[in-house]
Amino acid sequence: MHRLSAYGIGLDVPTGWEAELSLQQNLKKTVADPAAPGDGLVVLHAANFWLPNERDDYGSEALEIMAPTGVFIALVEFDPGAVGSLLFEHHGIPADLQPDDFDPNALRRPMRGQAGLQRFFHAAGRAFCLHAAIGSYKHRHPLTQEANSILLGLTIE
Amino acid sequence: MALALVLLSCAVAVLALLVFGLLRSHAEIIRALHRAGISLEESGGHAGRPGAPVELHSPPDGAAHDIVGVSPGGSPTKISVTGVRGLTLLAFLSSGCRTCETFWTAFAEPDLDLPDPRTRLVIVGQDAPVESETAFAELVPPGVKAVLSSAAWQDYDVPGSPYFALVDGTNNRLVGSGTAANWDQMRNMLRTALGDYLLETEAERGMTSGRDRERRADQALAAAGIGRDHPSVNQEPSTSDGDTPRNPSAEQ
Repeated sequence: MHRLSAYGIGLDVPTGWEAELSLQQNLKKTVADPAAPGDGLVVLHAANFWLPNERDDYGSEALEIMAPTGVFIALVEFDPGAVGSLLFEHHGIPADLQPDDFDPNALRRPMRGQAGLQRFFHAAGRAFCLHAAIGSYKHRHPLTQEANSILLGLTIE
Repeated sequence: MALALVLLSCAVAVLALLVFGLLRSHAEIIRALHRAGISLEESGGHAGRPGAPVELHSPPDGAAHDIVGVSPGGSPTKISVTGVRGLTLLAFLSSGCRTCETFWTAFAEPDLDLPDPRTRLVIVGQDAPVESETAFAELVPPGVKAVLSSAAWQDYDVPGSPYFALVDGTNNRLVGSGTAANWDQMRNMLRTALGDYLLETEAERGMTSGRDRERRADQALAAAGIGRDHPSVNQEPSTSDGDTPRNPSAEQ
């Protein structure tokens, strides 16, 4: 188990999982200290398969290569001004996803057999969208467990 | 006269100390350059001149390690090497190593021929300030995974660049590691190492030929004192009762 920590976000990354914490592509700045929060809006990608190099903020390119056993998580930060809005009213990291919450039609680019979901929330005065995708809707029960297990190791400051 | 001799001896001693200090400092500089992947030879690099002897070996412990570092864009990242299906080829390169140039060029080829189709290439540099993040990022070919991680250099006991390690993520084992003067040599060595490794792992799992299994069975029986002429070897199967399995349906 390795822990990635930067920009006020921390994630325990178990064996077999890959992850990357970065600043959103349109807001990227010169990073003097990647561990310090407040450099820009953050995006976190984690997957139980090899992440491709080029990915948009919601990881569409990763979903294109995701196998039926795959689980992909994207945490996308929004402007802190959104914290008071109705969309982000849920407080805390949603780490209790339910298998039936996944929907094959919830993906930005629907892929054969895959399913996804989005949860908007706020934590530590920051607004986020959690985008989760699984490689097989048919096997959503074990894959949801795997997604929840990695979300338990996610922290936001 | 005696005073002059004493003074002369002192001067010689001081000069000897100075020379010793200079030699030691020189050795430390060479060691630091070597660790940074910079050689003082004309061709530079760990592997020496093109065409020089190459080496590939299996590490003593054979353990594989995941890689935690920073992407060339400055993003903290963990690259999964263990616990995954497929092979990872770790290429430990430096921007300042002249022997590495041939590998940077080879890895930029769109039809790069890796030792096995299931292989992912990951280029691993050292942390700043040993490595220039900007120079490294400029050399990384598009589409190739790269990371800056001095910890990975330590984990894989990298003596200098260029250096390669082929990892089997399924079994969390190192297939082989070493260096070469160019990519063709390296790829051929990796293919040979992979072939040997697959034979070894298949043998460990008992996936050997029928003849091998027969030979092992014979050896085990011989060790137990049972030869080919032992009565139990050529005994006809019993047809009466005793050990013969009964058919449950026949009893109904």
